Amino acid sequence: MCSAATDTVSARHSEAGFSLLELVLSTGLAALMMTALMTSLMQFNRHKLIAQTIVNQQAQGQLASAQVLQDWADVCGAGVVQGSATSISLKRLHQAHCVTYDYGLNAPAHSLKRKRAGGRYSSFLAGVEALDLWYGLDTNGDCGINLWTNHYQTSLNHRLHQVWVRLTMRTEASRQLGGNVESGWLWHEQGNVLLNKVGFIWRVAHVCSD
Amino acid sequence: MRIDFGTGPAHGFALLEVLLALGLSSVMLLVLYSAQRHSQAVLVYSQQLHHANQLMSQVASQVWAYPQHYQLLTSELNAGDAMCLAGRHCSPAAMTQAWATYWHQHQLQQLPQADLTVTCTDRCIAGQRLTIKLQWQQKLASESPSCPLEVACVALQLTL
Repeated sequence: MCSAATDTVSARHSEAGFSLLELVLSTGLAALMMTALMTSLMQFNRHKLIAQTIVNQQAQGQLASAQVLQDWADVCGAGVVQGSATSISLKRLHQAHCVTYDYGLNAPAHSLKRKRAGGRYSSFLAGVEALDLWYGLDTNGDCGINLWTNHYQTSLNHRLHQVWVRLTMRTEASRQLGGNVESGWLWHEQGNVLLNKVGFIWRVAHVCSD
Repeated sequence: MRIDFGTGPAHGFALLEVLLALGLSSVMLLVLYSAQRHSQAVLVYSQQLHHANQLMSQVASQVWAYPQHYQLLTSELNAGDAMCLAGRHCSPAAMTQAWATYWHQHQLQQLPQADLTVTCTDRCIAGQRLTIKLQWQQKLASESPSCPLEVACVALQLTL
């Protein structure tokens, strides 16, 4: 059983609290640590955004080349009929018939468009800022490309061997990435859009393969 | 009940405690920083592989186009005429040199100390196997039978 005299809580010599020096030092230290932590978190966030953007760009590029090459894989008849820097007409199989397809850039919609003969254009590949097609021709019959041109018309005087597809893809990116920190990154002049160049070559099958 | 906080003056943190706290904080930040650096390095490696695969695909296309002059595709001379790829008539040899120059000035710039080789197992004739190999310095690359440590390698084999 406790008596009233002994039932007290005393804190002798500790009523002074923190001194000014302690307060300033602890505040400074806390500020320093918070700054370091915040900087680190912001950098991590920025890095995450950059990583996402790069992965998006890579995926977009691979998807674009796969989609175009797959679509042009079942070419038939005369193959490529004609082409310019931003459009191409070729014959490909559709329900066991050799049909002409037109491909081109739909600049306002930022996409590639495709049309079957007699049909209407529909969107084929999204997120395309620019299209630049080059045609590798054999003009002297030696089965080697001796001319790369951005205009092609089917003719007996030359044979088309390859089409070099150069796409400029659009990738949405946060403005938080700002500036141009990552080398090789090209920002669109309007909006939060990054431009990414993708280049691949379509080898026209069966040319000089005999 | 009596709780006594002691008879001496309050001491606050000991120097050892402060040093330990600072040390631990530094270690934490260092771990965070190195994790981020590693993640960045992985991203760079991924980007390099992406460029390498694009380049390999283009080289393969041109090996098919110029089977007689494939060796010029890996020439390091920047003597190729860029106009060969932009509307000028050129010989096969000039075309292959133009491609080599184009790759050296564009794709290969993205890969540190890159080396592109095209070799045949025996003779470069129809039916033989041709290997296109691209390697570059990359600290994250592990060792493999065909590739030393810290060197990334990508190879493509074609049958002529």
